Amino acid sequence: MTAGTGTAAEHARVGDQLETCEKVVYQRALAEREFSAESIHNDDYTRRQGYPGALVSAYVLCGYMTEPLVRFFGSSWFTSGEISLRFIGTGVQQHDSVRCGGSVREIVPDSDHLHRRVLLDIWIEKANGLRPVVGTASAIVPGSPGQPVSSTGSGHPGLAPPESAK
Amino acid sequence: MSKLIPFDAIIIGTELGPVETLVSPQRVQEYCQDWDDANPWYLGDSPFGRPVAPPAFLAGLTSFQLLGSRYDAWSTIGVQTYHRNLRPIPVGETLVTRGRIADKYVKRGLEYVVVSSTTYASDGMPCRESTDHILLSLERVQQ
Repeated sequence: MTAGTGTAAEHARVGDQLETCEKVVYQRALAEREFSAESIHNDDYTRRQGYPGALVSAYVLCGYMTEPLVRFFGSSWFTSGEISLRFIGTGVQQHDSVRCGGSVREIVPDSDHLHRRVLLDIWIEKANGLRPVVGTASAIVPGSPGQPVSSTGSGHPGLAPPESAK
Repeated sequence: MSKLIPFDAIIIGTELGPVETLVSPQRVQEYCQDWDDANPWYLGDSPFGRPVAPPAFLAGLTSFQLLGSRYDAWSTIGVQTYHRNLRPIPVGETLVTRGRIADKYVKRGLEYVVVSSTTYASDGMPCRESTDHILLSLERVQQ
């Protein structure tokens, strides 16, 4: 990870995959607190409502998703990062194994035409292949959209290695 | 329908907060442990010249704190979230978040409220803008 030069985002091309990040979900409040009988964070209640168990809070999952984005965008994420997430289906439960991933959807010029905004589709995937969290993320990086790049991403922290290197 | 937050009583435009949060090294360390995120920028040196809070530190949670300043928000859950980072948050900073109820709606019998907020550093400059769609309860409205 570097401060402003050489981030994966600066070398990204449409279709590049975000370096994935694997987690075992843990929310401290679910481990330490008792929740009321009609709380979304109460196991018995959510099971009666058709969920596998108490729902982990959105802010926890948002935190997981930002880790690979910080790796990808570097310091730009802190000054221009935008993230939009939807939490769908039966949610995520405590101790689920999840994988945060994404791919570059679009690279567009920023308003000053000296920078570009790199836009990704992002998701969190459970071990069963379901994606209870989907959305988009973007941040501004130096350079114009048409600027040639020297690499497809190999060797840049934050990008998944190309297939040939796996 | 939510028994804790009466949907009909929610007024769009209602101001929420402010909520004050100290970004202490202890809380950041706790974040790094809970999220299993060992990025050295959060506890050591960073490109910004000092440790900075993880970008998602309290993101989303502040909307619940804001809603919780008026209602019992423990039974709610976020279904959609948007955050825009404007500048890094130094560790040690005291943040102030102000928000408002931007919208409310019923979808497939479930009640939602939308909370928009801005988080400010102690110098008054904004460092994050957020919008959260919050499901009030899993109980459906009687048709």
